[in-house]
Amino acid sequence: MTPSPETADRRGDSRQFFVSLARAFGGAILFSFPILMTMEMWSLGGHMDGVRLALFILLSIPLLIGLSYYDGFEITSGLLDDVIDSFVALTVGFVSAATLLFLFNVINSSHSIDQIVGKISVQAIPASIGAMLAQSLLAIDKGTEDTAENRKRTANYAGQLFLMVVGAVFLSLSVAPTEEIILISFQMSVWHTIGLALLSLFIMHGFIYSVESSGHDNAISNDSPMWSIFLRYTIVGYAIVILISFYILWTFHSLDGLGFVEQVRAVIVLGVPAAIGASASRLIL
Amino acid sequence: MAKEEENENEQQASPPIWEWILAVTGLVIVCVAIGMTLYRGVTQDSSPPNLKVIVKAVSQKDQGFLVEFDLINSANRTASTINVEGRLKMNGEAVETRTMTMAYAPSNSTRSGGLIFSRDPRLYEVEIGAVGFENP
Repeated sequence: MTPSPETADRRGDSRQFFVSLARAFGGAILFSFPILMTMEMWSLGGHMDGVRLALFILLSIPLLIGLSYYDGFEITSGLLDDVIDSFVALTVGFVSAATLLFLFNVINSSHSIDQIVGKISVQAIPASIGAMLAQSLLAIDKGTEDTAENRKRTANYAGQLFLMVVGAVFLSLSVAPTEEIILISFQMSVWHTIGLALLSLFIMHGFIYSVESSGHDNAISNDSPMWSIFLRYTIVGYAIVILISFYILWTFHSLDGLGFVEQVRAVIVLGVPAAIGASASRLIL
Repeated sequence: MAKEEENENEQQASPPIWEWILAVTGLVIVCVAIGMTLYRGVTQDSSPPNLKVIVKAVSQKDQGFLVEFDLINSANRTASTINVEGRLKMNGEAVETRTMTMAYAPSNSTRSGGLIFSRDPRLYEVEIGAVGFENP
């Protein structure tokens, strides 16, 4: 590569950045559309507990930073770059959520500022994750895609578990606020619940094992026995799924006032999409 | 492979100024959002919704008389499924009663709606109020 004048270089950098930015907006809208059009999410933003919402926003920052490393909308070099990209993703998330909610007339001047901030914030977080996932949702740029693929392939055990967390959040977030999760859990008997938990484990193991045997994933050693993969990935993965599912339902007030058994049931119901997301994260992210 | 490295090298250069501007914007937005929601969480008083109905306008329509109103909730708690009842009274005696349900009355916010009467409300004393609600 011949050295170019700094100005030209900067212009090139800026152009590349705006292309990435456009892609990030695409990802934000693509990922958050289902919940932007979910009624429960509108009212949640208005009445959910402020501390839970603040925690939800706060926890999204480390998630985005990690995601930026593995799957960001542009190739990053170093932690600072990942942090910058995370906040760019948050800007994109807030702007896209605010724009769409305004156009849907979900937020208008009859709402208090408090309500408006809540309504936008609760939607902006999934939108920011979408912005960050833009690279894999809208894979256009070969270089970015290859680097991300390479980083994911060579992720260590902690990295693999992190990708499971992201996958679980990714799939469960779009159904978590709906009334149906709780309704399904009310309809189920204890036996249905146990069956659903076993099915989730079975699906998870299937995805993880198929990823492993296709040589898609180097971190899981090819000659490790089935039980080892089951213990190290499927069981640990399901534990992650349960925690994520519980956290999201708690954040959205879906568990409020439920008895312990009813809470477990709801967590297992949301655990189905979370389990699929976690175990297939290497495939879908 | 070489191309990939080249790509990575290009990115090694300090991020463009736009990226910094957007990142700082994001930081500010996030701080404001966390600050405001946290403030809401800490100061949230648990006193129940405070509902008030104000009549805005009366007009004649094809199927009767429309009374438009604002439902104001001035408390920090949101109410849902609010039943609104409107009565036309003459000499303290209700001559016509109409009810409707509002889906939400968010905290510190105003929602609007309408009740339809068969008699002209302008000839009577109009009384509209919320009669009940559900906690969301």
